[in-house]
Amino acid sequence: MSLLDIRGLKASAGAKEILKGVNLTINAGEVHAVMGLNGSGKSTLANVLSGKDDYEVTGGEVLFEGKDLLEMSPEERSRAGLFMAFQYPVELPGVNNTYFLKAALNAVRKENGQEPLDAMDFMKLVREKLKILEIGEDLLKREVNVGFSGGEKKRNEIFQMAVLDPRLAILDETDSGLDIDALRAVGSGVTKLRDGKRGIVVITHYQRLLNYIEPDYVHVLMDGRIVMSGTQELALKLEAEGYSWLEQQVRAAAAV
Amino acid sequence: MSKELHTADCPFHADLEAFLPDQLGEPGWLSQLRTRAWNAWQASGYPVKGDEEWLFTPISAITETTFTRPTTVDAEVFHAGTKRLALPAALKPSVVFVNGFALESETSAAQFVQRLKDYNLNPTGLPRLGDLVSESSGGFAALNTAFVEDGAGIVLPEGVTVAEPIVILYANGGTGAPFVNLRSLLSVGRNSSATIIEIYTGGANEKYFSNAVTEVHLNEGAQLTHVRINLESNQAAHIGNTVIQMKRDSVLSSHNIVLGGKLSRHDVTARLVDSGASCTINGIYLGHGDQLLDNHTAIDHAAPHCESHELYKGILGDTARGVFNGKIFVRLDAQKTDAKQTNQVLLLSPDARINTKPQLEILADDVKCTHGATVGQLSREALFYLRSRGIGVNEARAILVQAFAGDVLARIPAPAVRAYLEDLLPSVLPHSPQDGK
Repeated sequence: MSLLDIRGLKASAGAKEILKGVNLTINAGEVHAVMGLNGSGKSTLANVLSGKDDYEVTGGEVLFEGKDLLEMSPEERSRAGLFMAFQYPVELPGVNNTYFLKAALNAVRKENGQEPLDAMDFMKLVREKLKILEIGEDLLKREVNVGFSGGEKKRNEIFQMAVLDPRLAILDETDSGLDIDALRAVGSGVTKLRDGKRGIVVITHYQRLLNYIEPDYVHVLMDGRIVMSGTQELALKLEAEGYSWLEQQVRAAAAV
Repeated sequence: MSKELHTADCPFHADLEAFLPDQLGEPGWLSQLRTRAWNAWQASGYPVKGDEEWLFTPISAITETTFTRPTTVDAEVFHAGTKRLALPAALKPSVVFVNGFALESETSAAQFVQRLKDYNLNPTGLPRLGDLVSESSGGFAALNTAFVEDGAGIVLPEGVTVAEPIVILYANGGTGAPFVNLRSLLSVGRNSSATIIEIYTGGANEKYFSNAVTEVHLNEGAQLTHVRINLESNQAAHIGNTVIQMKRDSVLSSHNIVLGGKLSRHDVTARLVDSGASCTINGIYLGHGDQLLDNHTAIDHAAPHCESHELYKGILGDTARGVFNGKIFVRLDAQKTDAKQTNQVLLLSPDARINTKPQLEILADDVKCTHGATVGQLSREALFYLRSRGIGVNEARAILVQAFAGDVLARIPAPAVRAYLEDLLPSVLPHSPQDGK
């Protein structure tokens, strides 16, 4: 059984159809990149998978380890092992980062029939993850994302991912708005969480993050469909030549 | 007190008739104050329809029930109230009143803490009861003054620092719809500092009317942290009047926590009468069910170079209603005043309502005055973010509501009180209609 199976997924925002039949299969341990221009449907795909209710699914299905993902609430998806690193992480004034993480982790543990972690064990786990990701402990004392720089917010997402230890992580434009140092930090963080079992989907406009997270497969999303799949080579070609050659190719194929 | 003043149809007239014979031994000044206060109450009576100060606050919770002044002390009322409060050892009350009567068994001999009954006998050279709140302070304050008998008198001399919080507990309720008058007189001497907590409580669903007045004197350089906690019964009517007079360079940090009462109204007035005074008046009001919670604040800048900071936050669920009125007066010679007022309200239900009104009267021309009010709901984005991390919708809402309220509690400088309120908060937060789905 595959980890994630997207079959003919169609979704609209209002009257506008954005996803027009997306097919994508991800197996445990694989890293996939989904690339595409603005407006191709990348963020819609991420949002539909995370359970955001701004979109209406009009066709197709999504199976997560064989279960109907689209029937699950956002919290059920998270507890089942799906993690979404958001493009724009939300600021939560007054909510302490440690408290937030503990509530999240214990919700996931409860779902899996595990006892909640007590404060001591939780701190031990959290410190371990911070160390792996080379993030300072002051992060724990701060309010969630409040006053964080763009890079700090994205690193906090990766830190949450490390603590929650999901089976599948989707990184939605995690590279957007990052300078080169922040990009390297986030990229190496994700690479450390690549353990041969976890599935990772990297959604991005540019190839540059893929220098740090080398994908097994690269897919190109265009006008709501995946129009080409390949390897890292494809990403490099898109970086060097842009998307226009592919657009022409797709148009030509459609005209036949 | 002369007989002809009594009018049989005035509310609480019969109670006064029963009460007065016990006050025969009181000093003349007090007797005269009482007479003036009763006259004022007779003249004013309850606020009438159209009264600007009571526009959004119907007082049917008071007028539709015949409340009667109790004459005996029921210790059970104390136990019912303290059970709800669950106070930690660090906040053990120094003095306890049950329906306004001292509960001797629960009163410890704390330094500077007196009973007004004793204090009033000879307050020579010290602040006198009625100096700040008297017959001219509005109907309910006058009514309270007419029935004044006992209460907490905390009078700190010059140059002392009391590190531990002094806790006054007023437990109210019991059978027979009690009418309860509560009075505190707090005075902090020159360059002295203290933390004083006033707690008003009662059994969860008892019907009574508590009418409270607190007078606070801050002398030159005095510093006071004042926390007023209202956890009255959910069926009670609570009217409170707090007036603070601030002398030169005194500092007030006041925190008003309103949780209880079917009707709760609190008027807090700070008079900054000498330069260099600084006051912070914060509050939080949490309403659910059909509670009506009204906070009126008035800051009177009567001297130059003073500052005031005000932050009130409300959280209202179900059909609860809130009222906030914030007056700031800056008198002609109160130049260089720096005043800031904020009221933020979170409505958790489509049927919850708030009436919020800033009221600024500025006569001086070189001042900084700002005010702002926001009314909103829980952020959908924030809720989604929490849920996307596996946190259930009810817990996610609770986290956000608590974060909103926690901001006010975090500003309380007394750690023991702050910790107590932070622990208490989750159990008293209003629920959202979506909860339990």
